[in-house]
Amino acid sequence: MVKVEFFGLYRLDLGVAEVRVEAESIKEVFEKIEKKYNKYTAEELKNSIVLVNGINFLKLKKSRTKLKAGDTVFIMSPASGG
Amino acid sequence: MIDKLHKATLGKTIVIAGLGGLGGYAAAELARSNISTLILADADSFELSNMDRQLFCSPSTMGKNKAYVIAQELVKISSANIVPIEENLSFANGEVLKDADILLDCTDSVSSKLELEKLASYYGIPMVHAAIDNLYGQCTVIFQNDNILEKVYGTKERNTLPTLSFVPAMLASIQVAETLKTLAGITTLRHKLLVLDTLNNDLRILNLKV
Repeated sequence: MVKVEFFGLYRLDLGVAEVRVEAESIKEVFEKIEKKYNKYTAEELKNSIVLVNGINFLKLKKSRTKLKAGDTVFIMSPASGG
Repeated sequence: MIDKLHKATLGKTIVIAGLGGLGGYAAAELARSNISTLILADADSFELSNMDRQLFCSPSTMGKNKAYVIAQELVKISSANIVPIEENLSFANGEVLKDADILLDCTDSVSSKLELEKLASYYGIPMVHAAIDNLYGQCTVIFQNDNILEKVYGTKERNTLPTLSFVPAMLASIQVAETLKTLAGITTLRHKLLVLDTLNNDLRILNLKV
């Protein structure tokens, strides 16, 4: 299982701070979140700030980043208002 | 340390782009520092929908330009030279940054934030970015050629979400603290994004380094 932490709008909107999912890649995490909550699409989630064990997924292989059991994925929607 | 931060603004010129929720609170706090010049840039005027969260919005300031109103108010409490620019800061009028020491991004769109990052980089000054939505917000400090905001936003515009007064107040205070620290040579948020969820009192520091 992978631990997925939500922050920002996702956490406030979905009303959950974290969830555990079976996933072997970030892409699969996005797809499972889309299916589970039917609120944000995998495409929308791709445009988030995503950290895998504290490392920006842009530094890894973005959506193609492989995951293993025990990994933590942090997903946040950046704020843009002033 | 307090002395160091207090002295850090001595004789400095600070520019605030965007005088909405964040910019109003940030301007009010910076006006009480030792700065020499505070330049305030925003083309917008106060409107009814600003009443719930913008410090200088009142029935008497409704319809008036935000930069102008805030400058008029802050000269009452500050000895600094406070200069309103009734335009949005961009490359078209960016030469005001030539003699500035630091820029605060308090604007409310991804496109303006990306442009300001490039503008600050062009003039070789640091930019303290903040943004808010709903009940959360973020802050980071960007130095020349860091190009951080594309890593935060991509290039996609986003919808801004309604918020409440304490959210811009909290994030603006963090932004002002980072401004003073940066001027004092203390860098704690370079390549890092401070994110604050005010509903859950959850504050994190994310590593943005790529």
